[in-house]
Amino acid sequence: MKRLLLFSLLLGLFLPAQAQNEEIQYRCQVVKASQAPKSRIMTSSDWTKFLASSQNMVLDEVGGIAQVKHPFLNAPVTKLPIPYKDPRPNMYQVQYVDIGLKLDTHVKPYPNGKLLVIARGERSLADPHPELEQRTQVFIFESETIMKRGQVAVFGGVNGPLARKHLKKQFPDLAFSETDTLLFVVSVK
Amino acid sequence: MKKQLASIALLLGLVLTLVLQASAQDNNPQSSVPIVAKFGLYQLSDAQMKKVKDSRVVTKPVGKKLHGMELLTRTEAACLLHLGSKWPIVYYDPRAEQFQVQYVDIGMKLDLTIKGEREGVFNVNIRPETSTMKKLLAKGELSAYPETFPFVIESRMPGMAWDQTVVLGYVSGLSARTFLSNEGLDTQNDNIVYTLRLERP
Repeated sequence: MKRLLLFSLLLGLFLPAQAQNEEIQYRCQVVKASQAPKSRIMTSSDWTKFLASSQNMVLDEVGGIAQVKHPFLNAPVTKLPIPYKDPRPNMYQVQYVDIGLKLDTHVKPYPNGKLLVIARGERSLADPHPELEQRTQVFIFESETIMKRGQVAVFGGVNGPLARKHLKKQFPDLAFSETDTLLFVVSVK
Repeated sequence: MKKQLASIALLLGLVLTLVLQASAQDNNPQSSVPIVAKFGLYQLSDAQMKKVKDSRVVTKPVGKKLHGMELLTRTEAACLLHLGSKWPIVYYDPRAEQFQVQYVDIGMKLDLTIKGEREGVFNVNIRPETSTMKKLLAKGELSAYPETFPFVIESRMPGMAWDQTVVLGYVSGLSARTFLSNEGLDTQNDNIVYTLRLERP
């Protein structure tokens, strides 16, 4: 009887604890694609095939291992200072802006073995114009969706002639055609 | 007696398991639907404009695509996309008695929340913005102040179905020419249309 009670209590405590300690391997990519993928949530093998086709190119990437239910941040960034003068203490103050690729994510368990992926990706660059040093060029998405392990999700994309002039500022060494699309992609497994 | 106690203990364990596992799901809505929202800005001739001017739904996008933005999201979640620049403006807030930094966003932005109305039908709250910097008004000791020309639509689109392309709004004539010229584009076809389409991912 005592054994049964102990077993039941352990069952009650251990199973959810195991679910909460699940690990995921994540990856965030900024991709230049000459064509849009057929679907926006796909298997990692389909994504690999897509990347290998045409003139698609991974421009920037961060990744790592994180725990489900715990927010995580991967930000290999430069801190750009924005100085300003505060007249009260009569001294300069500095506020910092992050420059680089940054992924801020929170993955939660979802029914039927799926995952709710809440993500904010940002790729930023200090403006190359010397007179506009405080301005930053950004590509940001903030969204959430439901995924399975082993899937890749294309969270955001931009294209067209108006986008091209901003893409050229983001990636000064690359040429973008009017049909090229810049994608923000997150994968979990 | 022992059997009864054993059954109660087993039930207790199972209930505890279910309760803890349910709390681990973080109250996620069961009916949430993944969606791809595709937004487009098109430049149209007068003839093309006549066909879409009074339409809510168009069969396929017409005219020259100026830019496209897409977001993968799910129902009931707010999401955003921004490609462009962030311009910090430092100012003193006398109420808070401290300096604040406010950002002016330039480029293309999309703010979106999709709510499920019934199966396959959605209500969309959308705010697309396309802006360009016209000139710098002044460059003081602390900040440069950009004069921007934004084209913004803030709208609620009820009853959207899968794979429908909906006309969110348009601009014709002088305002369209001003926008196109500020973006460095040809102003001959002075009609601009914002469209939205919802697709399965």
